[in-house]
Amino acid sequence: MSYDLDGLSVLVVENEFLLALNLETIMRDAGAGLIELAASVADATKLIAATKFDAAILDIRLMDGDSLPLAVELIGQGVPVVIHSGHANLGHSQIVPDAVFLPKPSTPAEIVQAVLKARGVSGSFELAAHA
Amino acid sequence: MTAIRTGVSSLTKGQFVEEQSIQEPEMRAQLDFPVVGVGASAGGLEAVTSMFQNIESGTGMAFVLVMHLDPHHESMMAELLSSKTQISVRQIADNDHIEPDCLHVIPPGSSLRIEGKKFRLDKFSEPRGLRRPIDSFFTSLAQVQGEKAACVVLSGTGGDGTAGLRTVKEFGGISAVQSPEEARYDGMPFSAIGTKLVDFTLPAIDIVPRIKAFFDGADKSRFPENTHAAERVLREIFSMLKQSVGIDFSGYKRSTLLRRLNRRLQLKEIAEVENYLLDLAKDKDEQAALAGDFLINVTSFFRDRENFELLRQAVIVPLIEGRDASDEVRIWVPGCSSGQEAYSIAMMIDETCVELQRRPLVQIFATDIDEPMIDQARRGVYPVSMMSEMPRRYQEAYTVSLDERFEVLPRIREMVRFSAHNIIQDPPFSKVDLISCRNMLIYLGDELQEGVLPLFHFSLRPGGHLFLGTSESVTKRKDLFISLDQRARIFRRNDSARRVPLNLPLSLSTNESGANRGLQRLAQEEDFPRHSSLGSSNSTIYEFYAPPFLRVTQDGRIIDSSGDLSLFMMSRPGADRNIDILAREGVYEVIAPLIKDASATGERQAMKDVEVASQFGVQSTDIVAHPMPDETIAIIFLPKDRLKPVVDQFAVRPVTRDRQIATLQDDLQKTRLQLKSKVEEIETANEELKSSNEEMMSMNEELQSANEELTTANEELKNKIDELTLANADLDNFLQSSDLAMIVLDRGLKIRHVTDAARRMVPVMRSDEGRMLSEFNIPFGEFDVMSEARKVIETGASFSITTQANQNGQSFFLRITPYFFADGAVEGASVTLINISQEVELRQNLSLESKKLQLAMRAARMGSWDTNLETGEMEIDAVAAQLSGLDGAGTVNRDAFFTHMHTDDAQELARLRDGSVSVNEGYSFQVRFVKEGEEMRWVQLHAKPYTARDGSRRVAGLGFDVTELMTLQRALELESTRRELAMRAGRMGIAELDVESGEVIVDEMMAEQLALPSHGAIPLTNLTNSFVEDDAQLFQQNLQRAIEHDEEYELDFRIDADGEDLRWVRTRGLPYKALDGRRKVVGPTLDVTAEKQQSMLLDEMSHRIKNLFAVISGLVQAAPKEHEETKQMADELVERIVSLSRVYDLARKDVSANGLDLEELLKSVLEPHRSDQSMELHGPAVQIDPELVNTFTLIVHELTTNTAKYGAFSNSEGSLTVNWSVDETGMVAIEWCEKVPGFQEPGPHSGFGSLLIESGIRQLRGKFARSFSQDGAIIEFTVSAGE
Repeated sequence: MSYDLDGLSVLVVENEFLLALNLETIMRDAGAGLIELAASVADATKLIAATKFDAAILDIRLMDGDSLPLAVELIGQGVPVVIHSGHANLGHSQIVPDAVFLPKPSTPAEIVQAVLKARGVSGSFELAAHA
Repeated sequence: MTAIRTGVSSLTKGQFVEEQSIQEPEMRAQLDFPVVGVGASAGGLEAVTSMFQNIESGTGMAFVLVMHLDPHHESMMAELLSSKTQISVRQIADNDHIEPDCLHVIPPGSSLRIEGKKFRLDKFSEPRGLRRPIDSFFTSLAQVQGEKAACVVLSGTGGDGTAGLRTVKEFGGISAVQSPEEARYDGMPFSAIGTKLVDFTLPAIDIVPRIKAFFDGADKSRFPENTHAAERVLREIFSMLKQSVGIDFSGYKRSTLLRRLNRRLQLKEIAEVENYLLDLAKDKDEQAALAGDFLINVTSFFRDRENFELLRQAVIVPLIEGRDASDEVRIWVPGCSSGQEAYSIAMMIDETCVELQRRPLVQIFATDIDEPMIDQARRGVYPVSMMSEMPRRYQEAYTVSLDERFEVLPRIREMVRFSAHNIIQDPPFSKVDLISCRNMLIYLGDELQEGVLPLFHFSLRPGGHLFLGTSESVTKRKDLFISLDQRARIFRRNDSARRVPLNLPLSLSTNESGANRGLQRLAQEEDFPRHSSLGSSNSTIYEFYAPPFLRVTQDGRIIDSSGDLSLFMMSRPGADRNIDILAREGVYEVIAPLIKDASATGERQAMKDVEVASQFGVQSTDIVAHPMPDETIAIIFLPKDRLKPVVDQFAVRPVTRDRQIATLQDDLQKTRLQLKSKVEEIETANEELKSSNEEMMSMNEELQSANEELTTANEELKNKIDELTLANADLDNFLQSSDLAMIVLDRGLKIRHVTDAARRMVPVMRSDEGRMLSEFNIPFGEFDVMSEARKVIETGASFSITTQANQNGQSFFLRITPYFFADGAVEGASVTLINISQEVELRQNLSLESKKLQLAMRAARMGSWDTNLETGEMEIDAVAAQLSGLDGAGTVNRDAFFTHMHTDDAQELARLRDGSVSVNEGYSFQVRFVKEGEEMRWVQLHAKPYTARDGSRRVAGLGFDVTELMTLQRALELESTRRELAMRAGRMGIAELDVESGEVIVDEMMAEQLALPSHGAIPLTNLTNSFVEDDAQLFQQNLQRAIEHDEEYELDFRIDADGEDLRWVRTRGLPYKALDGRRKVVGPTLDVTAEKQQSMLLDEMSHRIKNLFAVISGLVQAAPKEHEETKQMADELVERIVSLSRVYDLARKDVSANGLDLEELLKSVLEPHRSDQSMELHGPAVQIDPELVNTFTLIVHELTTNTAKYGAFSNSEGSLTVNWSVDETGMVAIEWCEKVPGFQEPGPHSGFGSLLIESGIRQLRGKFARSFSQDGAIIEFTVSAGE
């Protein structure tokens, strides 16, 4: 993988363990440096307070509530946010218009592209690289 | 004019003179309020107006206006004046009472006097021209009112009023005169002022207030009660006057002086006599004025005429009879004042001389203390008003008229010698035959009277007479005089009386008066008893015993004289007269050089045997001129021999020369006869001339008086014209402002006057006045004005008519009234026009409107009726009759109206009507009329009670058929009920919002659904009380947007009511505009909790499935991949799972559909792999059967993977076109066409992907074909879309 996530710190908030693991793998494969995982709003809030992330991938429905306030907080800090959810709707995009929305499930390439897009980096990638 | 003649120092200290026997002229007034006489003539109306215009009631004075009025015309004076003053004005009638605060005006042609507190009117006794109404009234006023009389002389020519003013003053009244500068004619004011007796000279307007102030203060005594104190004051005044004026009043009667002093203070408006004394000491003019007041005495010609006549008979005639031409008659008139008394006596003597044809030398010595009076007397000129004092024969014989004055003939004047002389201190005349001293003693105190009477006795020669005033007597010294005629006060000298030693002068002065000539010495009480003065005695001695002499200045002015100079000088020389004028013939020629020589040489000069001729004869005399130390020259006449009388010369002439003389005597006799006849002729001519002159004079006077009267009449007329002009202007203004259209016609129906308003209605101009009314086209339609006007003039009865509209559409109300003259005769007619076109038009319009209303009611099938509540009679029209099922319009009984009415309605209506009528209110009701054989009809009634003009109570009503309306209403009600039932059945709530008011009307169902406490109207804000907060916001936004854009909305929201589960409610809203224009939103609600729960369950399931996809793909990725092949397989597997998951998502969204749209499916799979390449999808709508979706998705996914790897999506320049079609069997043919520049045909490989495609197509009972070219690949396949 030759995507330029080199050295970026990424926060992954996902309460489904397997999916969190998978996202971590994808980010690592894409060259991310620090990758922190959180399964609840509470955990995520602590991490945000401690670290300034370069990007964040958030599932909406978490065990202790939905993550949109978190997204608002992050965007307020200037952290690019990707919402990775199976049931995002128009109402959500109104609350955090600057977030990039990504359906669930998505291919690893789509996930990396969404992160890049959120960071304002445009560019194409080729599936062929994976073939 | 008047004077004083005394000055005596004869009072004992502090003693008042109380003399009862001699009456003073002042007396008590008959009326207890002051009466003010006002005299006016030409220009008088203006002056009187000015005088009274500001006078209000409450003056307490009566006013009497006397004017010169034309005796032949009614006077308008009273009428004119009454409009100009607030006090009442009345023209006097005979026997009228005198009332205060009233202006009494003299009527024309009468002389006015007051008698017994009433006015008396007399015919004039004098001819026109000699009438003196003002004088005669003033005189009467003075005699009746005394101190309470005032006279006012206003504008006028001539001198009427002057003599009367004098009388008023004499009797103690006051006098005022209009300022001559202000008066239009200043003759009367100037004449009055000439008397020097006027108290006030003021502008007319100030006169009444001043007189009022005077009388208001009249009752106040300004003197101390204490007689001693009063005496002290008087003495101080006497002392002052003695110093300044040189007259000693101390011997004057106190009561008179005090009264006059008091009056003086009143005039000066000074309250305290002490203050007056201070003023008096400083003011010389006031001293003179006070002295003048003290001296007031009135004299007149032949005062007490009958007494004069008696004097003539008893004294004068015998006196003249007893004297011949050479004898001297000496008469003394002391206190002669302005000379009338002296002239009266002179006239009588002259008359007697003529009668008796004797002419002794008559010398009348008239003396007075007052020098200005003497000057006046010497002139012998008097106001013409005084002429009437003389008997007619004297007027004609001895006066010459000069305009407003007359002059005493020089012949008479020459008989009288006037000189200043103080009886009290100057030596008396001697050898006097008659002393006439009238009305002087009354002013003297007892002591002085006692002193004066012996003096008179001394002066009179034996047998001489004394003539006194009517209220005077000699009682003080009865021993000296014997009464000859008690009534006439004629006394004869008692020759047997012991000659009393005379102390002359009667008073002596230790102080020389500064103001008067040295010879006037003033008495002082301290000098009493008297002792003689050497100087005076000497002069008496010179006078009687020394040769006559003169003292002259070097230029011939005589300074004084002594002795009888009548033989040498023309009259007794007084002071300041020139010797050259007075010296008799032959004297002056001698004296002049003597004086010259004497003064030149300073030595005595003499001339001997000078013959001096006079009418008495020739006297031989020596004349000595003796220069005196003071440079005057004394001229002494030393008569020698006896007087050679003229007759002596004839007598001693020798009678010789016989014939010649006889002839001469004959001639002389003839000549004398001729002369006599000539003289008689001349005398006759002279008499004729005289009588012509008299006639001319009287004519002149008549003219003068006519002129006066005309001027007054003219003034009256002018004022009347002013009033008429004003009245005319008032009338004009009235006509103008009332806009009264009036035509005045005379008896001949000629137009006399047309008002402005009338000219606007009829074509008559102002210049047409005087033309016949019939000449004009008077726009009264058919109406004949002429004949009606004629009838009115004949019968004197008014007539009025309303005319028909003429061609201009004008109608008139026309009234013809007779025109009455002042005497009540009908002198024409006045035609009054009132244009009533508007009213007529209004009436027509009203009837038109009424007709229109009837038509409209008929058209609207509206019936009307009118019920008389008292009689129960009801008038109904045709429609109402039809509505109520009656036969036709007309009057019916009220009960008939109810015949066909539904019984319930009839009862209810009767109840409603009675209730409404009792409170006088209108009412409305719907009733049913049921008539057999007809359908039932609904009728709406409206009625209102009212009171008719005749006072009856009535009800007016109208009604119309509302059956159709009622039917429709019924239908609507039914429809509404139905809808409500439907809503209830569907458990739907409904609400309606009024946008403007923000109020929502909520039904029961909705209230339940929204957990509202009640249904009905609630504010919009309360509607969402139980909404979940976010939803409430969302609802408001939706509602707002819907209202703004006028569009429908639909929204689901949650209700979170206490004690209930969360519920979902769905609502829709539709904005609309109501009939009344209000904006509203209406919408139903429906409980959708069940549906929502189901949908949420589905969502949850879907979520879990998708998570399952994610977990699976995660598992695949997470599994360790040692080989690249494994890794690739895992990647492909993940991508297939992702595609399937997305298509699943598509399918889930439209569960209800029969399948999945082909185009949607293609897009869903292809899009994630496309970057910016072009892609076109064409084909009909095709639904893929849900059972086949997974298979179809996998096929498309595999094709897409290849496209991404090798085909159109592998290169940014690539493009993909997918076309499809469906045949009748339901088979879908798809053409997948890729174009890629530099396309490399892939090698044949048969991986799992190919396997999937092949087995998939097979399962779908389709075919698959693929071809490659340089440009790309074309894949064609068919599949079955489902059953």
